[in-house]
Formats: sequence, C-alpha cells, structure tokens
Amino acid sequence: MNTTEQKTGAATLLAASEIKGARVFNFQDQDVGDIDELLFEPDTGEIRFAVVSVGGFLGLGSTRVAVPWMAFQIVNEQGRVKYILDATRERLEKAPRVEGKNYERLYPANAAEPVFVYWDVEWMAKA
Amino acid sequence: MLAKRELKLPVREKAIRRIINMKTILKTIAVSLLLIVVGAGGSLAWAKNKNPATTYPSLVGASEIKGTHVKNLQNQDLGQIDEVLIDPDTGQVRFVILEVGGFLGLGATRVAVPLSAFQITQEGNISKWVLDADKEKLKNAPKVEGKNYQRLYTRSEAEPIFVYWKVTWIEPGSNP
Repeated sequence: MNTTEQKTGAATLLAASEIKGARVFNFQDQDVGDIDELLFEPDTGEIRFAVVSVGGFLGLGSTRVAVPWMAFQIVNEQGRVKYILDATRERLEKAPRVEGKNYERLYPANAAEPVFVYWDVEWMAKA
Repeated sequence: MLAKRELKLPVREKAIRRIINMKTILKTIAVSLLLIVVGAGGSLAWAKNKNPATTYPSLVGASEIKGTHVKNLQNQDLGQIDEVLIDPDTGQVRFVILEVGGFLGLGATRVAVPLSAFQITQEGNISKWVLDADKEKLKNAPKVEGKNYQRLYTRSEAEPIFVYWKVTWIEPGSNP
C-alpha cells in the first residue's frame, strides 16, 4: 500500500513533544501502542522513523519497533490528530525492533532500508 | 555554511588568476581575506570542532534534544531547545523553538528558528547545537507565543522567519 501521498489536511505544524505518547491505531481500529520517539536526520531535518512502543497488543510483549514516518496515515479528526498504521499483530510481531536508545544503528542505509522495505515505504537513498 | 564559503575561495581565485591581471588578483585577495576575517571572526570556535563532511552520522531523538543548550559562535549560551515542530505531511522538521533565558539581560522568551539555521555536530554521544546569533539578533527574532503552532504553518508567518535567519525558504507541505 502506498501511503506516501497521504495528506493530513491538518495544515498545521505538530510539536514533537505532543506527538510523544500519541496512540497508534491499525486499520481495524485497534490500539496497537503509542509513539515513543521521533528520529530525524539532523542534516536534512527529515523525520526518518517513529519509534512505536507496542504494549500488550493482542498478547505481544512490550516492545519498541521502528516505523518509517511515511508509513503512517495521519488524519485530522475534528481537530485531533490520529495516527493510523497498517499493522496487524503478525506484522508488528515481525517488525524490526529498536533496543534502547542506540539510534545511531538506524542511520546507515544497510540498517534503515530493510525497515522501509518491511513497512512498504519507498526507501529514499541519501543524496 | 561559513566553512563552505571558505572552501570555495581557492577555487574562485584559481579561475580568476587565469583570466585577469595582477591588480585584480590583489584586490580579490584583499576581499577574500576580508571575507575570511569577517567570517572566521565568529566561526573560529566551531570551525575547529567542525567535521569537514558536515554530517552528523546518526539520528536525533526529538524528545531527547529538549533542554539541549544552544551556543552561539562566541560559545555563549543562548538558551535551550524547548520544542521541535514538524510538518506531518512531509515528515520534515521545520522549526526548533529556542527558549532564551536571561541571556545578556534579555527577558525569558521563545523564538522560532528554522532547523537549517543551526550547525549540529556530534560531541560524543550527544549533539551540539550552534546558532549564529547575538543579543541583538535574538531580541529582534520572531517570537512564539504559547502553543499556537498552526500560525507557523502558513507561508505569511513562516517565510519571514526563514528570511530573518537567512536560510532557504521551504514551501510548507512540499518535499525539499
């Protein structure tokens, strides 16, 4: 599924500290977890990943997964921003994990690209 | 940005040397030296630590940088990072809100600065943020009141801030 063309219609800027803790829902409207961190590339300012903290969703243990920002559908629901991710239990279970705060590991293309591929988001090679 | 400008000088001088006379060369050198002196006056401190590739080969956690102190080119503490504002459609960080403390007698205030105005370098495991700003520059900088970030989305509000901080304007909702 191509979600890169999604527009929020929010026409606003979002504060990173307010995004932290935002609930993430899947296409079945199940609460799959919350956004724990946004990781951006300081040179370009591009948000590469959101780290989603998956709670006990459908029996999955507590874990953190890296999801490319463009994999989210961000919709403006009566002034509230809603984050939707095409994430079934199966998909979350096999998703690339993030351990601790070692975000440097997600920087090289050989580590980042498989995450994009996993979430069906086109990998944007670094210029 | 200053480093880039300085790097271009030798190339430009070579080209000029081929086509024009000695007088112009001397004039060019004088101008170049002046540029270097003006530029380096401020940038010496950070140029020493500057990674020549200007890259920070890691990802930065938006919530981790909250509270990070920002220094100017004179290594004075300007204040700390209060917030990071992103454009959700493009996934682009547009502004960093800097909380200016009592710096040089300025009252506590919050200013919006485009991300690209900062020099971000790696210092150990943390990022070091440098902004070319003095008291006067911060005093006149566009302020942010409360959490009304929607205002900063519109071009009429955002573009003057990019202009003020002398960075290239990026259209909202467009990929750069």
